[in-house]
Amino acid sequence: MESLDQYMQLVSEVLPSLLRGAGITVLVTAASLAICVVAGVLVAVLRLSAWRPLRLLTAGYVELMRIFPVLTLLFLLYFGLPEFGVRMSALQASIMGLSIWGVAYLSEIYRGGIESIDHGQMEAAMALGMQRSGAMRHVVLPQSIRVVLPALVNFAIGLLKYSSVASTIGVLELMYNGRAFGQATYRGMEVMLMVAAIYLAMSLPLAMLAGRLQRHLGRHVHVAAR
Amino acid sequence: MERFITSAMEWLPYLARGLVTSIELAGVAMVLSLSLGLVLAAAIQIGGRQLRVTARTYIEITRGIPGLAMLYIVYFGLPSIGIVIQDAFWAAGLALGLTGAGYMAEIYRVGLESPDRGQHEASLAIGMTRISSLRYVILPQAIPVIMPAATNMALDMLKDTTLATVISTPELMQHALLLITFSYRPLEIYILTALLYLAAGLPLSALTHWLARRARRGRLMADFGPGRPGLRQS
Repeated sequence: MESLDQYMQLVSEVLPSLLRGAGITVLVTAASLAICVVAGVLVAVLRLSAWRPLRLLTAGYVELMRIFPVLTLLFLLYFGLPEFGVRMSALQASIMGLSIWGVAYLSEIYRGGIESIDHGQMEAAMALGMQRSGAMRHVVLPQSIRVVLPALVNFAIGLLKYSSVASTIGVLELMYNGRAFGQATYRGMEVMLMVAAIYLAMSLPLAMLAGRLQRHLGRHVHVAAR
Repeated sequence: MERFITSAMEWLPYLARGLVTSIELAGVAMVLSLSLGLVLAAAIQIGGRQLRVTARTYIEITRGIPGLAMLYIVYFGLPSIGIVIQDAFWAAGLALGLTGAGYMAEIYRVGLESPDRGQHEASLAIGMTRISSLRYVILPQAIPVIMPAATNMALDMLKDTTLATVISTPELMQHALLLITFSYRPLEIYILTALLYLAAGLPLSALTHWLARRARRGRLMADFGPGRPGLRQS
């Protein structure tokens, strides 16, 4: 068993690189999250559209992404697409892969939020003479935020963890650096525990935020016939 | 296209063997998740303070770190404290199961807490024991909530078995990668692999949708039942 001093020395050697890796992890997560938040709305709205083919198409995409492993998606983008002459860096491929996967997921969260608002409210708003889009914007969406926000934070945690998959295509993020240093120092366990601790340090505050949001906003949520 | 089909015929048996391993791996991990998750959920529901805190800590940690980290810790880390799992398959099953247990415990908890607490209190008040209250009042309402979440989790587990490829478990993704090194035709093989995952995942997904629909309908009936004049509304 090694002394604490030796362990602290390992920490001081490895930690700066791990933290640099964590920076890339945050970059990948934040970039995909930004794309997902915006594009997810689009997919959710298309999924609820009145035109049937559009509805089926988006439903198919969402269903596909529910079943498709993220790792396979990343490999397909990074190693498969160059056959078509589409080349991108590992970083771009990982952000794109996580976004393609995440948009489908988040659109379901949005849809759940919109559908959690009793349909009678939409009807009532329209009976008062509001337009569909106006009723959506002023009546339904503001209320659905209560349901969506905690789920969105949970989604961000999932994205943060899944960004570790980017290490398999060679993005120099936290997991990749952890593996590399574990091998170089022959202290895989210690380094990997540090990596796990850094992930926890990023995800736990988010989890606490999600819990708080759920308790705080959930007080006023009475979802009809959920 | 013709070239793709003849090659695909050659590749399929090998990939299918990988898929079988993937499904077995997901099965092993699910069994571990279901049982360990139940223990954790029970610890939270009926355990003492210390047990509760331990279980919660376990759940928060496994839910907070990536599955990949768990895989590396189990396969490369445990040997340094003397626990060696030779077979990558069992190491992957253990790691995925340990992660899954945290999620499963939460699914059990949400299910058990879904009936209003008043129902448990009411059944105690009319003289039921805690066990029979659980058996006849809580569980019949909790199980419809738990079932679709559990099948959905099995689907996620099937997807997460791809992670096991980093420790060279001979599952579908690993077989695909090996084929690619021989054939140099990544795109076609990845697409074929994706189709195989779809074939295995679609039934699970359909089952999840069906169970969720059934649970929703059951809830709707309950809401219209005696003593409940209508849908709960804001």
